[in-house]
Amino acid sequence: MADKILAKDKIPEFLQRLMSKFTVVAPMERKDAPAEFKELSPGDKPILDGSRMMMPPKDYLLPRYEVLLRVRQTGGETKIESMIPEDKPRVMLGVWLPDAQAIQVLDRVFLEEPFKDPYYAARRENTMIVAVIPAEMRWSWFCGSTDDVETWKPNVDAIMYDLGDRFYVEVTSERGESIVEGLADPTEEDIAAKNGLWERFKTHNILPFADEKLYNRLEWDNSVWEEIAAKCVACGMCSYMCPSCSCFDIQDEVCGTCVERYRCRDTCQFEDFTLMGAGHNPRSEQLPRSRQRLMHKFKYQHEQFGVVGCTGCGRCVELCPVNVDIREVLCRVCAGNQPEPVSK
Amino acid sequence: MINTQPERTTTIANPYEPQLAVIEKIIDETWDTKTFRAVFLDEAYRESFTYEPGQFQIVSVFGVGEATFCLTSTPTRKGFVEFSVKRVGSVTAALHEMYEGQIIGIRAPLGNHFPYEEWKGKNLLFAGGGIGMAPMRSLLNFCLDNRSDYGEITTIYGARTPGDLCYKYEFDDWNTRGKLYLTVDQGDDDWNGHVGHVPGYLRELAPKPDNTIAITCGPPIMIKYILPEFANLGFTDDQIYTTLEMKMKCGIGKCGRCNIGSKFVCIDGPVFSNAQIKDLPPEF
Repeated sequence: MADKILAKDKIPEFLQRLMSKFTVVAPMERKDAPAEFKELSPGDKPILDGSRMMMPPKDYLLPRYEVLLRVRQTGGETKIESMIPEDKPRVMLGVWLPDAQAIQVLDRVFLEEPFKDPYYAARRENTMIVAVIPAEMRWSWFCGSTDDVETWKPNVDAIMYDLGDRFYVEVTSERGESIVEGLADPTEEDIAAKNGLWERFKTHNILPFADEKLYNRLEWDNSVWEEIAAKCVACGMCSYMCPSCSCFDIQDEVCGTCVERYRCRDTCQFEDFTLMGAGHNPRSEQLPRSRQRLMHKFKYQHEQFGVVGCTGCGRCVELCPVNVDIREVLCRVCAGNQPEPVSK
Repeated sequence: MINTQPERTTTIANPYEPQLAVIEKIIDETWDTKTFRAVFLDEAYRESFTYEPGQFQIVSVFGVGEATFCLTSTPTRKGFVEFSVKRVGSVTAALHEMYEGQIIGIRAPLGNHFPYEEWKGKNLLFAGGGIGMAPMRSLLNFCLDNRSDYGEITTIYGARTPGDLCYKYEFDDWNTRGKLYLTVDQGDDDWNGHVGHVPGYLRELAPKPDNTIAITCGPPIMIKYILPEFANLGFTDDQIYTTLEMKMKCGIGKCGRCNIGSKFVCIDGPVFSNAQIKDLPPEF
């Protein structure tokens, strides 16, 4: 698989060529809000260099709000229509590499048999992922501490390394070849620059728990759960912005003569997430809810699928309104409750 | 050349799409519980539909939402499914307002089932409290319909008052082809039977654990007190089975709310042995 160079001034032609073959999905600027993944129209100028915080790519693959079924009851007859989206060849560009790995976690949840999710599958199975490694690492990233990032490479179709005036495009799957068609070959200097950037990504923010098998270290009884539960205001931001959190609710809405059954985001941080009709709630306090989110990512998902549910994208670190820092929590868990300083 | 994408060959059935069914019969069980018998509208689906004792279904009242109920009927009696509904929330309230002939949606069968094949030749002891009898009724009637496969089939069933006992119309059958012991927390003027909680009645009756499987289901407080009674009688953890209840939305291991540790009640359960439950974190 031959790597290529994409000069940044050639991006319009590159996008035009891709869009003639695929539906291209990439982060687009929004006014006063983080960039969001959108299907591109001709002339659009997406953010491909990963330099900005963006809404996670799950928002495209698993929309925040999605109508699953439309039910019409007229004249004594009931008809159900499945609103499964169109299955068409797509390319997602500008996906932070940790977010691309988070899509792997979503794939395990939504594509594994026997219950494949047809809505997710229609958007995902025919979609190539082109990851990006920005020139500057974000302070909140701790990817290399959660997993061996080398193992992430084969899970995407190509990786674009931002080398300033150009991208180094590393092709990591066979079908990824179709993306780089017609691009220039890299020089020795390009390869060295790419390797340097990869090394910076790989070694960025290696925290004390990096070598620990967290799924063996997270314990049911640990004083840290009580501490983060005491701080948490249960806003749910960490799961809404998380690239791998995918829990959802299903509700009915009556729209004139039809009923729309939709799914929308939900989070284990909300009390009614597990509240049963008769009043019993197995996670009725914030402590078990705080524990659930971290145990799910670092232990349960590993037990279920052999993947780690957190890829160190740092969104929850940057955005938590009460500064619950997942990195600090993990340090605490692994250091026998000794607080560890975390670089900011 | 742009290479072609890998071809998708399979068409996926939509696990979120319910089958339409008509409510054929509604039985008033108690002041707050009704049993619904539903028949699938699609004839081919109805003919091919089958399930196992212990599995559950998700019922749609279109415009209100979905709720989870165990299949309380037995697959040995074909052509319909039954579920018992205690009025507690919005969907159950909407179901209670419905009448025979109305249309609902059903996603079924979901979840695992009782390992009844492994229990052939053994005695079965059912101990149920309140609406907890619903999931066990499927297995109980299944085993009674396959009577020669099993030894003694004994049922201890309790409720708060005589008026809270469900399935009274089947008591004769349960006590003829098997043995039925009833108890209530508080009797009334017409009640001549046993008074007391199910765990205490179990202790009094003192069934022998030899070659016996115990199946128990009921409110959490009953489960808490009945497990030590089984242990005192000499039942081991892998001789005791129950079905667990959790809030569910998808029923297929995706929506993320019915987990206990790394197990999902909707796909890894709802049937668990007590030995399996002891391996789970205490969060249910």
